[in-house]
Amino acid sequence: MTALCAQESIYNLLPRVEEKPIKLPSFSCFSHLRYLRMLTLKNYLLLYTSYKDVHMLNSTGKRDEGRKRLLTIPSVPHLTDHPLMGIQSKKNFINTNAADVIMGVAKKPQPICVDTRQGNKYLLETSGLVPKYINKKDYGLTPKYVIKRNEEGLKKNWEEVHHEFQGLSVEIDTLPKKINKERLESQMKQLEHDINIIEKHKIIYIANKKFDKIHLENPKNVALYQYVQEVPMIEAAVHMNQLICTVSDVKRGSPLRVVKKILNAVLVVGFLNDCVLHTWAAAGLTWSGGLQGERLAIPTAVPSF
Amino acid sequence: MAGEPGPQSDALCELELQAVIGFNGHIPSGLICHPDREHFIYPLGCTVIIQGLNNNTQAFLHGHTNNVSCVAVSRSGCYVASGQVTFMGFKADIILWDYKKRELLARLSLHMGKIEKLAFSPNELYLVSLGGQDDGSVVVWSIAKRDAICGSPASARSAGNATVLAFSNCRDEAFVSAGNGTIRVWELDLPNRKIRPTECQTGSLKRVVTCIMMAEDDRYFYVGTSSGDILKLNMKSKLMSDYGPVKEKFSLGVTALLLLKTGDLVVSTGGGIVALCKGSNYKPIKKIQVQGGVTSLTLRGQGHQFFVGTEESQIYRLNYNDFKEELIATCHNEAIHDIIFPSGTSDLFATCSKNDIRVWHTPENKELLRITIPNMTCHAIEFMRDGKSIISAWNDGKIRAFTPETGRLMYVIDHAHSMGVTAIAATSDCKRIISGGGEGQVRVWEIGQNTRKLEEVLKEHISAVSCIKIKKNNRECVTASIDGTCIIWDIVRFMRNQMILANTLFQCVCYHPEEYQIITSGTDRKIGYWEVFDGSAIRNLEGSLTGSINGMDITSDGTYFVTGGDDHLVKVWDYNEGEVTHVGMGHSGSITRLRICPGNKYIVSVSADGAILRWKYPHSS
Repeated sequence: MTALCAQESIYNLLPRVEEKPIKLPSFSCFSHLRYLRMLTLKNYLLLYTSYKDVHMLNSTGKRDEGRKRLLTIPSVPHLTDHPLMGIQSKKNFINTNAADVIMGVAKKPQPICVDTRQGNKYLLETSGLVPKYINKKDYGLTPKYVIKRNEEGLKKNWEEVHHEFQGLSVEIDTLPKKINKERLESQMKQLEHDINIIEKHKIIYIANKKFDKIHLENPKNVALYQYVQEVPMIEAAVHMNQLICTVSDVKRGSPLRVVKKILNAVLVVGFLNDCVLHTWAAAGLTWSGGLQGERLAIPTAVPSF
Repeated sequence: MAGEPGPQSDALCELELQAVIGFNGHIPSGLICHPDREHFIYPLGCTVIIQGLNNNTQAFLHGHTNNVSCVAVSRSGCYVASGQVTFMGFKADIILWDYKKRELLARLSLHMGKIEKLAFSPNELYLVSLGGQDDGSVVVWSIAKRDAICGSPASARSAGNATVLAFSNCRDEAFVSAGNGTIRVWELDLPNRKIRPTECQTGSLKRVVTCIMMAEDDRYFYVGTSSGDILKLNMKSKLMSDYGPVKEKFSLGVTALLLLKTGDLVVSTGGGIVALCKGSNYKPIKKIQVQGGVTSLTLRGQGHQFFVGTEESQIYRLNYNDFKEELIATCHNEAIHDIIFPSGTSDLFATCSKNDIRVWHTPENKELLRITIPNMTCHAIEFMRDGKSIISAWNDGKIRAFTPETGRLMYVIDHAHSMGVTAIAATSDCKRIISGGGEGQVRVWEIGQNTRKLEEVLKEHISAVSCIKIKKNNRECVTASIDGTCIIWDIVRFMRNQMILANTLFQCVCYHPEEYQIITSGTDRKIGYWEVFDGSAIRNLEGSLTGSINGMDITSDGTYFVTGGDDHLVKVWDYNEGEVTHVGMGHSGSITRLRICPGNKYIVSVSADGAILRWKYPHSS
């Protein structure tokens, strides 16, 4: 019974008003032709221009405006208006078509791929063998909306905590109140800190896992050892490809430059293994992120590399 | 407030009354079908309402200072007369109205205490009025001069008092009055300014007459009695010719009579039966049962259709041919305790009173749903935010939830409060109900799919909780109680945040939409503004001069609020200025609750006399 009752709603008691959908003139091929046939030449020209307008607008994505304009156009042809009849073209289509083909530029063959000895072939473009997507401009970048959302999310959190903090009573006389206040303060501080980090650095790399060694000779390893940060808000900003891309770009250069590039572009947040740090330290590099000492433990002993 | 010249009285505007849902079914022959066959006339409280039969138009005749006790319409329909009750020792007014212009023509006052009955002469020359028990006189008024012609005691000293009156159908100089043991035919002697009665003889029959019906040709008239039989009397000889039914009399008395052209009688009884009787032996041929005792029976035109008004405030339409009843109008007949709009729509609202909860369609003033729990009183109702249930607080200590379309019972929380549930509210996530009881406890219930769990009992109030409002974030609520406290609760930690004390019985409380302030009011007639944060008083306004304030509501933007109470006035206040901007006059009972609809289109107020009044919200723009 409860399942049945759950379907009921008070709003169903409101008397229903049936809405008739407004029907727009459709431009399917057939109805369009029939529509045109009804019109005189004058109206036809008028309509034709507006029709062109619509299609041009369609391509730019402003479809609604075009529809609105079109709605005002068609007027019923007058009784005395007669459409022009019996107009024939004198163009020799056979000859002109033949001439077009002969004179025209030859079509390029479509690149195909054959992978078996039976000769099964398929289009190369859709096969995935052609590097298409990694050549895109925004390939590997953190999408802008993700960054924006993360910032906003943190700010919202901060506002909530701040609101709660503002609502505290003036007198902090009991232990629970004190603890509550301290908790809020530390939360706010943490959030402010996080917001600062995100706003300061364009790219944030978050490693995924503890790892023992980093081989600069094979920088792809860096990407393989991503790790999930414990702060969930920042987690969404992980974009491993950024690093692969960066590294592979300078693969042909010296190992030192690789590291430099990484450190200029990438900020390391969270826990990283001692070895990594040491590797960088050994290479004589300094931090650019400003996080040193806060989040990362600086190794005391120099491990073997 | 209305009659008092004050410094701001000139600036006050009246609220526009848009519709009234209400009909006082207790007035004998209060419901009258106008001779134009398109309108009803009926009293409600201190107004007389003219309502279209086929359309929803309503016109209001305001002018009485107290409840209307009787209404009469002249034969052509040009004039309407209504009488009222008043306090002992004061003169009760009869008001003569122009029907077409809907305006007051004359105020006739001679009777003391109450006007019992009114009747127009067939050519609209005279109006006869019958005073109440404490007055006991009959007065003839000239309509042209709007002045009394003569008067006389209505009944002999040995007899009881007269209660009904009927004019002759042919002559302007003869009329009949009847009552407890008295039936008199009166003759008007205009030159001498006298009326002379002749007592009708009924032999050994001792009857209390409740209604009179005059035959078209004036030869006979019929009277219905409280014993349940009908007497037929000869107008000329003043003797009873016959009576009936001898066996199987109508139970609970004959309350109204109609004589049709065919000679048949339509009889209605206090037991709710409407019967068609043959004129010869008074045996019912056809009969139907309606809800509640019938108090008025009125013909539309010549008798193809007639209307029945009952004590339960229902109006039925009856067709002569098939003799089937059709319910055309309903309203509450007991005090209404609460009104609520579902969130987001102005077109529906629900009211609750003794025995039932009703859901109404606002634009048509039509009842859509009635949920009846016999002999129980519903104190408060609330729509769940998702609109999937109506929860209600009842005086038997139960919280009942109903489905909103079919009105079936979804669940009951038994023994929710020991002295009846008096207030209820639901959180906007539909997971909790907060209820207040007559014993002063506030209880928080967790509502699951199939479970209702008592989450916490908050015991601070020491008397009945009258109103509960929840903050929008569902973390805080405020309860008003008649023990003179308002408490702001944290309903996450179940702690008291603040307590407001005042020397009053708090009746209602509202959060300002920004939720930093609350406004309260109660029997001390003051409107208090309070700070939510520390419970300090901000401001105190004089809400009313005479009566307690029972209902309050604030607009969604917080610029205006409305109050209503025992002074029968609806007042619209500017929140910041603290001044009345509009006053609505029209209620005849204490206003119990009122609401501004979610779309800021109407103000709907309900009162203890069972009326629902819809006002135009003045600041809608």
